Amino acid sequence: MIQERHVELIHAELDGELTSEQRAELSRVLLANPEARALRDQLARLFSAVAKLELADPPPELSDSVLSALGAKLRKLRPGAAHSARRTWYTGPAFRYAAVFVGGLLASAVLLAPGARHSARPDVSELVGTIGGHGAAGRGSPIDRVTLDLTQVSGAVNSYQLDDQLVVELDLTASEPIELVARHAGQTVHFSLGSRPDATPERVIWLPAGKPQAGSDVELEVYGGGGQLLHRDSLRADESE
Amino acid sequence: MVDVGDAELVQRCCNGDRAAFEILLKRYERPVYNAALRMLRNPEDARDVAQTVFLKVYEHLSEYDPKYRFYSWIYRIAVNESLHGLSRRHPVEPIDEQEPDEHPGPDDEVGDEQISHQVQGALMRLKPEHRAVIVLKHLLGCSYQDMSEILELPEKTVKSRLFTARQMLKEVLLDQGMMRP
Repeated sequence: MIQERHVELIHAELDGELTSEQRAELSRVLLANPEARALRDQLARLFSAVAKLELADPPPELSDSVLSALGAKLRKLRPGAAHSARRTWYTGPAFRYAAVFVGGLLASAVLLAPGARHSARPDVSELVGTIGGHGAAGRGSPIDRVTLDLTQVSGAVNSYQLDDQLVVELDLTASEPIELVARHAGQTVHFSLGSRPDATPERVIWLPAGKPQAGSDVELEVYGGGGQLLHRDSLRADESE
Repeated sequence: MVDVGDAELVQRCCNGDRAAFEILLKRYERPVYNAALRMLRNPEDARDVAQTVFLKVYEHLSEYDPKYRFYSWIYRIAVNESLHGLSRRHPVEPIDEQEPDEHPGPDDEVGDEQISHQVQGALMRLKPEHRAVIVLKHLLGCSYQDMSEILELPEKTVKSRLFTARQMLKEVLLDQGMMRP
């Protein structure tokens, strides 16, 4: 028969949490009680078995995906940064190019400022243009297309090339808040979608600065509302690829 | 800055130093991911949980109370997120799909990889709260006091839960022939 206190001492010894007084007490118990020795041996074998559970290496993309998701949250936490980025989007050449593109290819589109988006997450600071309405016609053939068919979001992301301008078009319907992160040639943008009460299609255009870089795809990541990665994909950015 | 203590890094993060957060991320991604992996077993779920943990850590850094150790705080979030992840699953936990060996040898004759696999399977048969104490103690090397902080339980309760968890784990491993009686 082993007393509860002695069981506790045996566990504490193996856990490295014995004081010298307790160690002396346990030594006396172990000398006198074969049952206590048997329990200690068995626990030591259990420790040895559990020690075989080695630490696994985390996936290499973990820290990158945290930092990507953090990018959007960072702007949310620091609204000043978001404001200064927003101020420039509609005045820069990218916007003017977008207007030409939209006028030529998406005849029925309506351009909205990011602040006017019906969104509970107004943190899309690098948004070039948001297009309301659906079913616009007259587009050219995309260079590439990624089709999403997730529970949270469905639709397509297309890449086009207009002269030397890469155009990334999101045509998505999100049933719950999601965030889409797009990266190309060192540029990253975050799009918050699905904040509307009804799951209506949302069309967004991004015009990365500079010429499309051959061999450099547009990397896409879709995150759920809790920040979990839902999907990762890539889109060709150059017709010559 | 890699040698800088957690408390200082947290302070720098709160002052907007993103590089400080990246160091904390690098410092803790391994234990946080492993805690989630051993709680959930599925690597993809563990990655998602680990990501959520770090985002929550960042968002709530200003709420961190420096009277506690930072790792206790982040492990608490990791355990809670893992438990939350488990609660979203089907009520019946997946059990080890590998049947016990018909004629298992003594534990020292079985390969480490097989033991690891069997131990993970045995862990998944424990209640999540028992699994959590095994993970904190045996995988993350937490002390009784750490576990008390992480689980927000009195130390006495932590010890009692840990001893029970070990007893149950031992029984499962004995059943599987992975341990001598």
